[in-house]
Amino acid sequence: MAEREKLIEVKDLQISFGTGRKKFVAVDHATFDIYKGETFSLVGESGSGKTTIGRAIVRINPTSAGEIYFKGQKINGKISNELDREVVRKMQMIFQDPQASLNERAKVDYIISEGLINFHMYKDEKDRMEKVQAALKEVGLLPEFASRFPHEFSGGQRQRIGIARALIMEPEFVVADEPISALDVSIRAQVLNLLNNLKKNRGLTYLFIAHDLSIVRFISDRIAVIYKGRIVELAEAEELFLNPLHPYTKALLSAVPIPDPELEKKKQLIVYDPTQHDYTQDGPIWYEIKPGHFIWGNQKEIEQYQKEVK
Amino acid sequence: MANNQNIILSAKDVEIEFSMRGRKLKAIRKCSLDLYENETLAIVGESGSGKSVFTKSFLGMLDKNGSIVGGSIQYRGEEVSGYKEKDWQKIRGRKISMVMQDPMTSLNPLKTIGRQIQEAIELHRGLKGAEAKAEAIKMLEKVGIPFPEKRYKQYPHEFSGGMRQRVVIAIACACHPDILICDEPTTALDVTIQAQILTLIRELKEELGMTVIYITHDLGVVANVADRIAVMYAGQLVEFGTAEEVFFDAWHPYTWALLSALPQLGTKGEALATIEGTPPNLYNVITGDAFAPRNKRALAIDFLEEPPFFDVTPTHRVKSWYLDPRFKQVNPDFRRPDNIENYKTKIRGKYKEA
Repeated sequence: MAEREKLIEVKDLQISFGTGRKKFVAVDHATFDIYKGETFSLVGESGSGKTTIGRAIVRINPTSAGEIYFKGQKINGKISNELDREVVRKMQMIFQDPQASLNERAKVDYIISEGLINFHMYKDEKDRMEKVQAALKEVGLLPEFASRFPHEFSGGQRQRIGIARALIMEPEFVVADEPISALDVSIRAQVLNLLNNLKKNRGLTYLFIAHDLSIVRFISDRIAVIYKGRIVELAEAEELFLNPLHPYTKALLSAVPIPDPELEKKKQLIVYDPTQHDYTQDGPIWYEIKPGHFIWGNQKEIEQYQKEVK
Repeated sequence: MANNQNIILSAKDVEIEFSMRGRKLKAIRKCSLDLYENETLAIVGESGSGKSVFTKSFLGMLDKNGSIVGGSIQYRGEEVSGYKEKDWQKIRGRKISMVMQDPMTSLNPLKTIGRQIQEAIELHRGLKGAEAKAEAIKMLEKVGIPFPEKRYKQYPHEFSGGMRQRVVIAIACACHPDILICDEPTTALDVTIQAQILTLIRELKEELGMTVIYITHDLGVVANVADRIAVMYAGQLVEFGTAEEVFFDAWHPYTWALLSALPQLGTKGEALATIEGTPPNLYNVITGDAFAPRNKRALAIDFLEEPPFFDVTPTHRVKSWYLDPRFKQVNPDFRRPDNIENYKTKIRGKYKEA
């Protein structure tokens, strides 16, 4: 485990918006690593800062403190132009809403090859077209779709176009921001399978941002739970589901409906009360409570969690 | 299951057509449904299956190009399918009410939320001025909005998504309707908020004695709320049953497909079961079982003749040839997909004792 290559390292990251009195800290003290070849998920409610972290890693949002490393190189804040270009190419993003994230006035051909054009990643026109068609095929679409416009496609197909656009850059790291929440149930499984196959075939690493925990459990290797800009717990997927420690994680897990009417109707809903933490005297730290299982808490709470750990 | 077997709403062989640029689209193809008083019924199906269209016809809310071309809809014994707009106004909002999916778009951004609730109360309950206002504030309190008097004067943008959905529910319930139809009420919300809204609807249902219809594609939500489930595919209801019957003993291949695609049934590293293909084009005439082209285990007869309903139990009815006694005779060893036969064990393996 310790020998695994770290693709992304996030250290004590803070992201804030605005300055002076209007300053708002969206994310604070975020610390985690993403290993090469894994699917790392960030889960939390809307407004918790999960998307903000994803966007900070791909350099869309500026950071105000802390560091982000990509393959050992610092990539947040001021970096050289060459590194910026490299990072922008190697890290791609898949967006939530396929209705909003594709240019309505451009043909699929252009949408997919825009990155290629920006980076001159093709020899000639023929090469570019071949690359576009290969990308379309890889995501399960027909090559002739290249000459159509986005409105001619269904939600699932549009999401596939969004994935093809990311893949054509041959990324090493993909941030998938709620890639299936806007899709219909029957399509979701298909897109999830596609993402998993691409990961296997291309050795991709994903940062998966989601609020649907049943899907997160299926797709992730490790999961971080974020609440109001703070990562409160991080563990391997099954460990987190079977052995949640932080009260917020417990509340979040209890809120996920179970597709079993008997269990679901008996289930006790846990409500999280953020005032239960008293951090005035004894400040909280990011603590590894058992190998690979991290939690945010103060000395007293950690002692308590330690008793609960199985 | 509701003990009370009083049928409050009864739809029989309803057919709904939309005319689209001169062509006829048959959105609902002979749907029959009995709704029992005080039950919670969930209608499940993928988008485009017609679940919203079907329920909208219970309040005369079909789009202008759509019409009921066959069958009957009876509300408390009265035929409503031929109602004109004027007649509907006596029912819509007062007797049968609806909560829409997106609280962002179902509220008027230019009016205070107090005004919007009061509007419904004044229109349908004949209360005026201060009396109506008091009632609106009471309603806000009932749906769990803190400081209702202060919130009464605020605009929709001053509310969070969950609070906005509470306001929409307050409007829908302001006239203490008989039937509340909730069309994907929580899809736009976070899971923690979703749990709160589902609880709220359940409490209001008890307090106001409502009958509730949920339209949703989230099987987790269905398991949480439903007494009975109706599964819809390509404009037809294909399986009815109590929640336990549909989850643990499903018989329609489309229900199998929906359940099998649940990520909870997936094994990490392996592909999830998917539903291949697309729903049929409803402009065309459909022969046989509409789901047959997507069903890997379809029978020859599925492509030729539409199956009738077969009874599994008095409450569980399925429109599938698999239940024909003749099929059972020929295939005594027929087993449903593994995920369905062992659904309960598989799901429970994923959860600790809840």
